[in-house]
Amino acid sequence: MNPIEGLFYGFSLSLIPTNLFAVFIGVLVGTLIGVLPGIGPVGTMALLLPITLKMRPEAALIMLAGIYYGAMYGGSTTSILVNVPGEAASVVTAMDGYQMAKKGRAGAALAVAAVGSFIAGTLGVIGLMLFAPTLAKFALSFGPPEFFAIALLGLFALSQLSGGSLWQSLLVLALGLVLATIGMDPVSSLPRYTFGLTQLTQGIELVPVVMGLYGIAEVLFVAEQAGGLPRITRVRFHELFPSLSEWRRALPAVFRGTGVGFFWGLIPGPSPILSAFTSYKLEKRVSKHPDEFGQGAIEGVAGPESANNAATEGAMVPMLSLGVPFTPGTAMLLAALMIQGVQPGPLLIAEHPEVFWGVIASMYIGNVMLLILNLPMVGIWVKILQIPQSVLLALIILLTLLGAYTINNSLLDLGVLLVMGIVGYILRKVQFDISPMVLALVLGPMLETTFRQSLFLNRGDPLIFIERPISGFLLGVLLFFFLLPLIRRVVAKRRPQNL
Amino acid sequence: MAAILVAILAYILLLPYVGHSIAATLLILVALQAIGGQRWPMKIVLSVAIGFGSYYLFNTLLGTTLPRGIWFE
Repeated sequence: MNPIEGLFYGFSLSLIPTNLFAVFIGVLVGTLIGVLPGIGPVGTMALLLPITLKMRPEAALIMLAGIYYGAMYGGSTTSILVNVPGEAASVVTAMDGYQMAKKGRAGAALAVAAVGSFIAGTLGVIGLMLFAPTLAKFALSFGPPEFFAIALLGLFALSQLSGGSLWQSLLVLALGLVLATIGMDPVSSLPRYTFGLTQLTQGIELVPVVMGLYGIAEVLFVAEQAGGLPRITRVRFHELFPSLSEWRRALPAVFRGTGVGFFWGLIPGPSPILSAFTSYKLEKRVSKHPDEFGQGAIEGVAGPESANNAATEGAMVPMLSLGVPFTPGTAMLLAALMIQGVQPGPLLIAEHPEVFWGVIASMYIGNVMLLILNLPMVGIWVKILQIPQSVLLALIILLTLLGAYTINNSLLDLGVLLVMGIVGYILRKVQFDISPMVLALVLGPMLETTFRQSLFLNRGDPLIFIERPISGFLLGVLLFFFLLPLIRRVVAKRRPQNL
Repeated sequence: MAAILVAILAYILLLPYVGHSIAATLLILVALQAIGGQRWPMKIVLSVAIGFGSYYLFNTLLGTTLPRGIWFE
């Protein structure tokens, strides 16, 4: 199917009322949790994962994807108006957005953020649409060694890029891999590490783990800092129009941000956050007045906001074309596919065109909906912030408990949720990044199966990973990633001597 | 935050016995108290409303089977 046919097919699917409803609910919930502190897109997607069981695969993915990119829109609203990033990727937006609000340009900042997100979102989908099928076709020749190398590279690149020291990330990563080994051995089908609990033979349920790490832990973290009501800047409708000179400064930043974001999305790592930071630095560097950054520079809002939107869509490329998620958000999308019995991988686009093209088309629609939800209706979201934070956080705790319990009606899942909540809270306190853990949990079984399959293929000889050109190349890249800190240290030591 | 964690643990342990409604009421009450910001009468009204309301919403409208509690069977 070429992109034009695919797009027509996709629109014919996503305009069915149920799918239209799915994308609307997705972007609505996405905006909502983007606005609210205490729960982000990953936790919400985990919460809604059980509900998607009753939906058709494309509707499930359309809704969850809506939450994923919708949260990027919502996050900017609170960053600008209250200086509270509702979502980690919006931290950068708060730096200049809140300063603009203080100077009375809140409306302009909101408009630029929303329009920038819309442009980046739409261009991002075009990139995804053109790029994913090509990559999938290329990946058709991949065997177990190649997928093993990709999964391994994804895990380690995320650890390398997600901030903190490499060893911290590797520790979290190892913890996730250990959890992934619980349950049935994928090759011999024998139960392991189940401690005699029948329920554990199915493995640790993903949803309670993710909701503990991202829901409970986040609530505990926010609850500590919760105070009275935040002071909210009021915005009237007629203020939502940036001046011509503001547009002229913002638009190039939007396009630069889109490029930066999409690129970051393609490579493993917490792309929405990283791309926002990269875009901010880039804008500051190319700007004619870098001193304005931090004081309310409109480029500092437009660039990062566009970048985080494009990044969410770039991150969907490896997920849809290879079946390998590089971010916790896309890991949730992959989990949704697997629950539905849709086999992710390079054949997904060919075998389930309804899922691929349905989601692509729904994203065009979703971005239009988000623009409407976030600009004329910004007042509603600001009102929601006036719900007392204690009530909100208490409700989120209850919802995560209910979400975890109702999957299997099992108290064990609740226990997992609580333990993971505590683990996530502690890791956050000591400033460890938790995303490697989620990714390790999702990629763990794949890593193990492909590794053992590869060894079977070559009669137990591990040289197969190096002999095959693509996996050899990828593992070489991995080695480079590992040696990078060492190379940097050597270069840094040399430099002063040369001076 | 220890209070909230203990409340969650209490919810898990109490759930099979007292059922969702009462366990959730207690949980919400402790959470509201721990985070702060509400007056006492408001806290009690909110926690009872959310505790019993969520039981009704989930079991009647969403078709889940949250425990009623073996003490009330």
